[in-house]
Amino acid sequence: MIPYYFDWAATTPMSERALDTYASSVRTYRGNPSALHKEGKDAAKFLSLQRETTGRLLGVSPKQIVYTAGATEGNGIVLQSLLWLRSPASVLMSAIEHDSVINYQRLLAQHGCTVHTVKAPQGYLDLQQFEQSLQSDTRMVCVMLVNNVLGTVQDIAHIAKIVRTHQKQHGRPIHIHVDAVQSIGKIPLELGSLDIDSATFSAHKFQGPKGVGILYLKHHAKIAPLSKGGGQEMGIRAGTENIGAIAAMNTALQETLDTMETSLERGIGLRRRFERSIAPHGDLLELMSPGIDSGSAITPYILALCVKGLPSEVFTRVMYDNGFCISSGSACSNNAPGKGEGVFAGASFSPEKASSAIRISFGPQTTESNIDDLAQTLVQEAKKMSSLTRRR
Amino acid sequence: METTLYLVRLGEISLKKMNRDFFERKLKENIKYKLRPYKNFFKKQKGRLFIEVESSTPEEQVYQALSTTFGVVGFSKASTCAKDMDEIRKVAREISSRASFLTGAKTFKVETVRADKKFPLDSYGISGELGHEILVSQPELRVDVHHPDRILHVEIRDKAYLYASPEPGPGGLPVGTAGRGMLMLSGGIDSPVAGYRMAKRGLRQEAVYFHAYPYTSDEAKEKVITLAKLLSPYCSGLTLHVVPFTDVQLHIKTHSHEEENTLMMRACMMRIANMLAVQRNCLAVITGESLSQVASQTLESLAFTNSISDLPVFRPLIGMDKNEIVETSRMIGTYETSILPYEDCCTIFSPKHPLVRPDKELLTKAYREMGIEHLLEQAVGQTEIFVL
Repeated sequence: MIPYYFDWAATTPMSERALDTYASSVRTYRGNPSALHKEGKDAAKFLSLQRETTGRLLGVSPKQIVYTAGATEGNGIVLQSLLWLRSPASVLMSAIEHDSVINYQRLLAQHGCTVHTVKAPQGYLDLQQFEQSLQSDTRMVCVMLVNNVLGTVQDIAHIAKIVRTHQKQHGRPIHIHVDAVQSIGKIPLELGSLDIDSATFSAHKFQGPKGVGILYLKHHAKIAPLSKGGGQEMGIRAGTENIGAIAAMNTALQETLDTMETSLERGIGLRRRFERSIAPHGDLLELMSPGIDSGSAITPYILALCVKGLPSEVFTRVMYDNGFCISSGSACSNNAPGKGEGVFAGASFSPEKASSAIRISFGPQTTESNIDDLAQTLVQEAKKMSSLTRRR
Repeated sequence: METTLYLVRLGEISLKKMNRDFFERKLKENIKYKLRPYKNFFKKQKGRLFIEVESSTPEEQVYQALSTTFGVVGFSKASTCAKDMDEIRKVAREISSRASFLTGAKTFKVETVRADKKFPLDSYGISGELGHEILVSQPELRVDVHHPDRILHVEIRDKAYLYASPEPGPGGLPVGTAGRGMLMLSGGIDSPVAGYRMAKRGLRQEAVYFHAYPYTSDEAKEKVITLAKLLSPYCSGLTLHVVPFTDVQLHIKTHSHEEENTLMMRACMMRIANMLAVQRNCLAVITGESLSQVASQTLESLAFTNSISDLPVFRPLIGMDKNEIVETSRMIGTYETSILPYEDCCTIFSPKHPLVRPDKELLTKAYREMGIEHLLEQAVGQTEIFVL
């Protein structure tokens, strides 16, 4: 592992145990789970056991688990299902959603759907505006559980309550979709107790392999598949199942949940240590995420900082030259113009702050000395860079 | 060795008198350079160049070489035979039965050039006879002498040469016939087009790019290298100089007024381009500037940056609209790379309100007072060179 890897929200290193599971399961189960011969049946049985494991670990029924290629695909499956509705729907989403949700706005609008976005000042959904934005024809609500850039956690239980009350008044079901990709291991999660209809996860965010994920679906009825074919994954996601990756994902999930209590505690300590180290340098670095002791709902593992007066991309390069992997906004949108600045606009930060924002994210393997080195280098480089451009 | 014959039509070169040989020799060198992995032989005749290429040479390779070489007005794969009407008829039948001749064609005509005036039939007679021959062998075709879908060209020279509708070449003059220039290449749409335009007038060029890491990314540099590679075939080879520009930009940022930053940066780039040009025996600097496109391209701004250059500055796009530039950029294949989202100038160095109508005298004074020459020399000394 790179010693100064602070981009865990983009992706995590795959755990050794997950790697072992991957290797052993692909060696053992070589058949296609849809095949009729013994090799196929063994694979199907193994897959069924894996689904039970996933269900057990997430506290939901195995029948509610659909394996996908990741949260982006899962979000796509849920959102494009709206295109098949007979009458155009109205969709409500938070303004700080990931691009894999936000970027459906145009497609949905082209098909007659109305998409409303609700601001999330400082990373928290404006619940009053949210409630007012619910329409009589609202059919879907999309809210991210843990924000991938700010680390803020939405009160999904409360949001669901608002939606269900509205639903009762208007008599039309509203699908609540939660992008929960950053939640595993970062906050305690009881998926089954949340009154939501779907949620998405990616294995590579919790030390599992890339290219595999979970779509939790409470009921399958209103969901249309993106890919059609062999009818795998209860007809929601056709294509031969990636058995090795699914098994490895479960190993990583088990490992993450088993150690979460202690690692979260450690994470809070590391975050506090980091915040204290940079606090005296407020003229250079400003915390954009809520502080760990602010009482706000956050995960300790993700935070956004503003490096005053310096474009985030430039500072990210400088930090990399010093051996630190950090991110300017969200890695998934780093290939597109704007580069994740949309989240900051959605969270009501000024364009100046947004263009100078960097994201620091760490994980259970990050040490105190890593955090100290990071804080020290951030301060040192921010100081150096700002003096270089100061007029003489 | 079996060979395939290609006929190249020359345009402006044919009009040259005393130094036509020089232009033809450069054109031959440029084509030979592009076909260097394959054996080839050249033969010149007035207004024509005949190239025999070993038959194993991929046709696309030859087409790519000829369609990007300035001086070529048109080219075509040609057939040859003895100056005998029976032989000529046979070849005409063969060419007109090819799929490339017939596909999508309803009408045709035959055009004859009778350079050998001793040939018994005149050009009209040859065209008529061959037209009849094709009408008989391809009865679905009709003759249309005004707007034909296909033209069969026949040239009676030392032998008879026959070829169908030729591919258009890029025209212009062979690169290397008009001296050398230093092209200021950015990652944008305009400067590659400027390079293309000057190459078309025969100017051999080298290019300079200013890289300000970490304020601009390595992806921006890679983008410019890709652009230079795309431009290289038109320039018959291009050497790219990547100048480290960070110290210069920081000095400008800290020693000049914010609204002057861009013009000071342009002035420094112009100085460095001049220094490199002298080192590399170039007699001009080329930029992609277009009048009033941005603040640094107003007449007053151009007058200032122009005054910094000791060498003539060519601005082939000065009177072109952006959409005309984009059109050329698409045509030469640089557009898709130019629009990649890697900026070649960091926002930190871009003033919110740049000077639009600067006073040349005042700005020149401010430029001198910055005391930046030693940094420019240092940057030139650290230049990275890519031969593309």
